[in-house]
Amino acid sequence: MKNVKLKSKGLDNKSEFYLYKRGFQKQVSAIWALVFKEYKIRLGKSRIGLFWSLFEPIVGMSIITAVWWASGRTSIRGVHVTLFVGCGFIVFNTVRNGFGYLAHAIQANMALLNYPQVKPLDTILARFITAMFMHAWASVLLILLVWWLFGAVPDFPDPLLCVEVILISMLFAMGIATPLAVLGTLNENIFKVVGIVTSPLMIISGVIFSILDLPANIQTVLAYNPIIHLTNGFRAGALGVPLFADSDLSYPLEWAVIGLGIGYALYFKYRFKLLQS
Amino acid sequence: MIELFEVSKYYPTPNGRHYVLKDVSLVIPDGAQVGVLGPNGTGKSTLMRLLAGVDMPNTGTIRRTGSISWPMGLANSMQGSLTGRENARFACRLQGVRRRDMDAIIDEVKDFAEIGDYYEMPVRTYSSGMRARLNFAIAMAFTFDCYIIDELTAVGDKNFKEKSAKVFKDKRAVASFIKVSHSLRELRNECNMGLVLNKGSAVMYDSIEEAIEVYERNIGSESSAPKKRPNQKRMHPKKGPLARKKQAGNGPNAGVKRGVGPNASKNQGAGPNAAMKQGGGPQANRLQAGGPKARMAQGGGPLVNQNSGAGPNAGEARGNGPNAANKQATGVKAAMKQGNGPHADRQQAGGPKARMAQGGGPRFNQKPGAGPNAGKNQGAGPNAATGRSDGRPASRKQGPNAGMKPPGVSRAHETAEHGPQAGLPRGQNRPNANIKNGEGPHGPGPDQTGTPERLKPHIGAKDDQ
Repeated sequence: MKNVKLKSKGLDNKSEFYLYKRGFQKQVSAIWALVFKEYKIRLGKSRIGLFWSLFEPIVGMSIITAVWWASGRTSIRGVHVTLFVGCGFIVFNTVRNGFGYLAHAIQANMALLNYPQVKPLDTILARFITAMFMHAWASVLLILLVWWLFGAVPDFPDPLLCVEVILISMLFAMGIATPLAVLGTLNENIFKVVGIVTSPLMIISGVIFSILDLPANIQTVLAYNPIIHLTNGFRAGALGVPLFADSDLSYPLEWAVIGLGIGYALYFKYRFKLLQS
Repeated sequence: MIELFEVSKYYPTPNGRHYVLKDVSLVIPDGAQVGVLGPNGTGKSTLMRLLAGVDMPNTGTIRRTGSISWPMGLANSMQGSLTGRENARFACRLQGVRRRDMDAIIDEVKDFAEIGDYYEMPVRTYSSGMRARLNFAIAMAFTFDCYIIDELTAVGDKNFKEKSAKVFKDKRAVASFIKVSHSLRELRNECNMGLVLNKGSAVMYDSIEEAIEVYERNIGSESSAPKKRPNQKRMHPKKGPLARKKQAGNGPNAGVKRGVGPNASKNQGAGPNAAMKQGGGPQANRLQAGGPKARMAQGGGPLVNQNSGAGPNAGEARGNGPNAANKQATGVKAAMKQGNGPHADRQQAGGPKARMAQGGGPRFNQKPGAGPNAGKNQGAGPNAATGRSDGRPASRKQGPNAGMKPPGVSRAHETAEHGPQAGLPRGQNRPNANIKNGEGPHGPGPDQTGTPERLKPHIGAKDDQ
């Protein structure tokens, strides 16, 4: 067989900087290898995989919109109901990845941990990149479809707010996914519990309605849910919908940072067990 | 080069930490071809993972220089939902292979693995053999400074093995490797150093021979512990009609169990339950006392030994009483000392040569001293002159009169002189003596008349050396 000679470098005659650089390069190549692998798996062997990845939020949006239409409502807060619900889905699906796809990252790649370059955290990062890439395309497609079908276009009065919300949503997804990935790999029952707990999440996150339409006391209660700050914030930036009274983007950001901290602490604590399992 | 500094690795268990490695410090130099030896469960695979950087030590540090492979073993390192081609591509990306070189490597992996169209199918659809072939092909597609091999080389059919061996030989010329294998012959041929794992320690030896010697000593000392008789239950089911048949001497293979057939020596002392088969163990006594057919085994011992007087344990079970026999043949170590241990099976029961080495010649019913080597082995055999009736474990090489016995004189006769029935002519004055000669109420034992190969047990027939 024709072989490719891999670079061999000694430790003794190389600087610390070189070692860090080499380690970083190794990790980057491992993450990209995993990203391509995830991409292949996500798309599957047929076009159905690609179709489902892109159209899943559109399907969800269509079902909710149909319910609104059936009840005789075509707009919420002056925005076309399809666009209003679609914007909610864009944020919510970003976060929802953290509970499902990202959280299963380590468990789904256990066999590949046999390669020394692949570390458990790399698998989460790779899935994060894949998920966000696919979700970005799906979101663009959703907005274009709504524009094409209904002529409703977001006017983006505060685009920076939209960007801020999306970034915090991604961080929040990672903050949720990291501890869940570690704990779920050690005990699969964690995922069952998470599935039960998160089922009403779409309802209480203001995806299918506007929190501003609810009474003040319910708004105060729902404000404990960090996701509702994100959905409301994105709509404010994209559609010009006003922020609710307790809206505060630093709240979900705190959740994200705390979640990442706990996740890394758990990863460090159980790093040996993760490699054994 | 790989250096370990006070490396410890343990697994938490309900009874506390189980140390696989404890404060291990060693250096594996460049160019070393190291064979790793250790019984099952001593942490060979864990060590391989540590050396490769897949796993981390609980304490201590490991320094590596040069490119080191992942642990190439039967453990799955492929994604089941990806095709063989995609797995190969993944490995290429992981190793930082440039895009322009990638396709050539992937095609070569396909050619080497010889799995045809399955290369384009998900790995989860592969058989275990195909998976192992692909695993090996991917592993060999890259050149490392050091290969970590965890029992990988024994995959595939004959052709594939030959091809693998050739590739591996080429690799060996330019790279070092650290190899785990249970085949001592393989390690002996391929390695120039040895690393022996035992109870948390890991010791490097400059010679593989020395390492193998230490390893065998370790195994021997562990196996001789009386409480360790792991296969007893499995090999000797106490319940069920089949079990009783075999033990009592009724079934078609009864002779095999009693020590009558051509594979008799396999059963006579091979393995931890040797004493039971020979009629020496406590449970054997219980079973043997149960009826006339059982007494056949108790009173007679293996027919081959009676006639030829050449078997290493001939006469021991017959003439020495149950307790003596128990002491003589309990445990693997004892069996090994008698020449019947797991590593002795090949020589003793593996074919015509083996039988000849026992002094019996090509046939078991040969008369005393008839085999070409009969006298030599009988006189100089491991326990030839020590006499087992005293119950002392006999040394393999020592023994006051080892080697002094005249050729053709059976140890069986000698031991019979010490037992309770000493002085009785063989085959006489004992219950069912004629039965022992294979001419009892049930006629000649089936193995005497030529038991088909498929009916013969193959205990210890595996060639591990």
